[in-house]
Amino acid sequence: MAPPTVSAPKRETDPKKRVVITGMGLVSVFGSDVDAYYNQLLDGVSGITPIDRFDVSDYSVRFAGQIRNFSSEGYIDGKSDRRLDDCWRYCLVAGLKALDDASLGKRVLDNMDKTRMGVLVGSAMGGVTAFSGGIEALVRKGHKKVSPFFIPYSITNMGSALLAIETGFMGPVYSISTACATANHCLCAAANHIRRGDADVMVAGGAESGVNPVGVGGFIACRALSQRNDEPHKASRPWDKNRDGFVIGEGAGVLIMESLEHAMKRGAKIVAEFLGGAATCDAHHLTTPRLDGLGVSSCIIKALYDAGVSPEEVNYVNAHATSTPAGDLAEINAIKNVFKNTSEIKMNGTKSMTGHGLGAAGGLEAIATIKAINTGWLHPTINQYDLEPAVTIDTVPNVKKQHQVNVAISNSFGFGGHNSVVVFAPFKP
Amino acid sequence: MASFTASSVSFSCISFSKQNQVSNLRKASLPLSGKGFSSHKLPAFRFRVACAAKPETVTKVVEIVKKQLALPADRDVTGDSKFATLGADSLDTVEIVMGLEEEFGISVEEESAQSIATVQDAADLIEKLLEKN
Repeated sequence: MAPPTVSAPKRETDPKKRVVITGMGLVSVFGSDVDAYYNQLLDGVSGITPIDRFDVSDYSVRFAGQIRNFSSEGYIDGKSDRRLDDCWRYCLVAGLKALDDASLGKRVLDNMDKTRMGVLVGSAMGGVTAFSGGIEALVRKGHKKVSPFFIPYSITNMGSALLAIETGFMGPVYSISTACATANHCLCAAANHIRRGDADVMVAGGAESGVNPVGVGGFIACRALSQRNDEPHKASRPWDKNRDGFVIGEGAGVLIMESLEHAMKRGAKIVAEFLGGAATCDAHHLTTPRLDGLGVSSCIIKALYDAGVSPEEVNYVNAHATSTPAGDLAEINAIKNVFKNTSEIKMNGTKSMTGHGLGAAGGLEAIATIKAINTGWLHPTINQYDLEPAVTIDTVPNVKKQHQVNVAISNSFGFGGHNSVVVFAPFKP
Repeated sequence: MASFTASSVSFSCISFSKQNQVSNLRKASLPLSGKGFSSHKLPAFRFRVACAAKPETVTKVVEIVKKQLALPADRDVTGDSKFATLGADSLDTVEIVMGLEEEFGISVEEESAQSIATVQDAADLIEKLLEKN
């Protein structure tokens, strides 16, 4: 299954094809500042609380990683802000903040070729509140009472489109929707556009607004959520023997990906290098992963091949780790199959604190991975009380650890068996 | 623009089109208060809709338009304000009309909705529909 290699894998050297990260932006349960977000993660703070955005008194799951006090001020005009689905508000703020972080403000951009700039910020479910509101109007009041914005604000491509309208980016602009693997797939596709020479700069990641009746009700219905209502902050516990499902989260995570040549020419600050990525499918079941982890292990192997690195170089895994009985074990099996010697590897589960951001998860976790690379500190996986015996890898339980990252991978797997793995490393000229 | 309050004007579906007709009306002594019409003051007057709406209706429309378009409270919005100038695109205008339908309990036909370009147009149409009900 591994692609034939004549010699040891080698990383890309052509600056036109090397993809670097020059900016990051996010909206999360820990706020909309990247450093504040990562500091909360390092401190092992749980973002999981009882839901108070809507009435959940008769729901069997009454907690989530709900975002509070979100403000779009300065980023979205009043007229749009009032009616945009939260998913797009998160997307716009994260994307625009990422551009600011990359020193790609309006004046700078106006002097660049925007036909060579694109946006690939995906969403698993899109404008869920806009969609459900429209359905409600349709059923209760008839088709004439459906808002003209019902379609535009529901469809999953609108996040990317809205960012493109705001910035004037006329290059590749679209979205990918692969459930919880969405953001990683967007990062891979964005990088490939840069490598092919279609674009110099790509705004890429994911956004999701999951904490609403549709999201919570829907995931309760497919029995995917933890029901630990009496201790919400302890519910998300990847690899723990007493895990009982994931905790729903929301937000947006966006990276500015740029060709090395373009970044160097404009003197951009480079925070990490995107070495490569891959996409595979379990081809197995709607919601349950292959327990042998075959789809995942092949995805990791292909991603490392695309990155030009060998498994021995990887020493940090930001796992998908949703805290589901089946998913966590499938991932562990796959990782142990690929990495024969795991004694040097450290692995953590960001979702233990943020919950599962669905389409946004890959973006939020890419940022956590890059911050680990930059700070030399790995955030803990919290709620590690009684781990499965199969987990023989260091999960950075409960307390942060210092760790110099050599090569890192970040995993995201989605309903439908979609697997995506991305590979990051410190940037070395 | 000469201003007059609706309470002192009673138009019963008379349409004014040209300046030279006004002087005829003056002779017919309509119950107009305030400044009388004199031809040299009125070249700009044009009434496109036969019956003009009550100011309360115009005020309500202004309130809804300001809210939908998130305009600052001190922004000047009057009957003459064009939706396009206020920053409303075609979708915004449809949404505003739907908001007006909701507020006034009326139903606006597609063809009528398309002819609405100013706040006054909207207010006049609302009154026409309310009268019909």
